[in-house]
Parts: sequence; structure tokens; C-alpha cells
Amino acid sequence: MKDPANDPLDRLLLDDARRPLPDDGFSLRVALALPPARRPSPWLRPALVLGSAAIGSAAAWLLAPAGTSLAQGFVDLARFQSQTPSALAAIALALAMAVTAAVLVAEEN
Amino acid sequence: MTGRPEPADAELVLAVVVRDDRHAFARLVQRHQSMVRSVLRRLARGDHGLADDLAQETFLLAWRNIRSFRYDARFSTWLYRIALNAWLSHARKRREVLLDDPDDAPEAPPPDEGIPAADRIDLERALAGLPDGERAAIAACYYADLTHEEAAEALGIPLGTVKTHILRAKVRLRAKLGKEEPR
Repeated sequence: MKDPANDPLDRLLLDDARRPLPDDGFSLRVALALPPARRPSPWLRPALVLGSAAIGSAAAWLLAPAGTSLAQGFVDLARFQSQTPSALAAIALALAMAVTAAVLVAEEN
Repeated sequence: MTGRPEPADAELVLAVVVRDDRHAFARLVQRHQSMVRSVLRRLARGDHGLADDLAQETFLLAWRNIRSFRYDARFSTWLYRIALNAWLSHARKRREVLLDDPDDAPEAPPPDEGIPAADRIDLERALAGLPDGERAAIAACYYADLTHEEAAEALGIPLGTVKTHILRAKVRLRAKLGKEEPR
């Protein structure tokens, strides 16, 4: 069947089968008929990241030792006292904000 | 200057699966549209409009189900099966399609020696006049380039029936087109 040398009908069928059909816009019609790409909502990831950061910060504030305050922490850091609970809380908050910002920038790109 | 080699079908399929890559899918459509539309034109008895509608449906189904493609098979064979099912589904809405009954059509007429050499229109007309099973077998083995075994599996009929369909179809085509059997 695949050797049409001796059979005019085989040759005719194979010639017809191998004749490429011009696209005539068919591929474009298929591309336009494809369902739209499923993209996640643009606000979903930032909301998750910011929400997680906010919940973590609130939990840290609630669980911090009495007398801990961010303002006091920044004052302690300005005095090069980085080992106080307030200073550690300020450092943790700054780190959390930096990580959140980095994630959001990476998502944007 | 050497261009980048054309990616294989499997690489394009992988790009679609992993990255939802529409450009890769467009390459697959451009590469296989001719085969799919040719097969469907034969199955649809030369109705080009219907064939193109079914071809578009075939590629949309392929896009939707591309994760079920198994990389050990040829992508063209996988597409052929989808196209065949699209045609069967369409044809069953209208009437019963018999792919496995070798006796579903009247006997072929005797060869007419006086018919001049066939051109493509004659061939299309002659193919359109074949019974469903014979036309499907010719479309599978010539236009989709399947082996008899692959055609039997795709059509869901015994290998012997495929061979019978091909033989009978060729007798009918020779009779209609005036092509003599090789000695």
C-alpha cells in the first residue's frame, strides 16, 4: 500500500493525501476560538501576602512581653541597644515588611 | 546562517501543558491542520465547510484534553482519533454509521475501461461515493498515514475488516476512476 510505484490508484491517493492544504486563516480561527487564558485575580496574591504579614504582626504584638512598643524599639535601636524586646520587635517588623515588599515586587515582575 | 531547529511535537505539547503556551499550540495547529482537514473532508464526503467545522472542534478538544496525550504515541495519530470521534459524533446525530460491516453497501460496479484518467475532483467524488466504513478506512490509511493495525485500533474494528474495507474501496475506486490494477 505504501509503495505506490506499480499502482496508479495508490499513487493518486497518496499524491492527494500528501498535497498540503493551504491554511486559509484556519489556524487563526482556531486560536480565536480557544477559551481565554485562566489568570488568577491580580489582587489575590498581594492580598494573601499582606494579610499574612498583618496577621503575623498582630500575633507578634499580642504575644510580645508587656511594655514592648515599636516606638521604644526604634529609640533603643537609635541608641545601639539591639537586644531589648522592643528593639527585636522593631527589627522583626522591618524584616517582615522587607520580605513582603520583595514578594510583591517579584509578583509584579 | 543556521536557524533554530523546529521543535518536535512532544516539545510543543509539553510547552502547552506546562506553560499554557498558546504560541506552541498555534504551531501544532499549523503543522497538522492539513492532515486533519484532509481526513475530515474525506469522512464528510467532500463537504469542506462541515470538515473545517469539525477540524476546528477537533483542535479545541485537543487543547482541552492535551494533558491526556501520551508521549509514546504520535501526536498526529492522537489528533486523528479526536477528529474521527468528532465526525462519528456528528454523523450519529443524523444517522447510524457502520464502520465494521463489510457488507453494508451494494457490490461494486464492474470496471469501466472507457473512463479517462481521474483528476482530483473525480477522486473526491469517487471517495464521497464509498460506504462509510470503506471511506473511513481509506481516510485512516492514506490521509492520516496509519498502518492497517493502527487504523483497526483507531476505528475499533478488526484488522481483517480494515483490510477488506481497503480492498473493496480500491475495487470501487478503480471502477469509478478507470485505474487498472497493477499486475
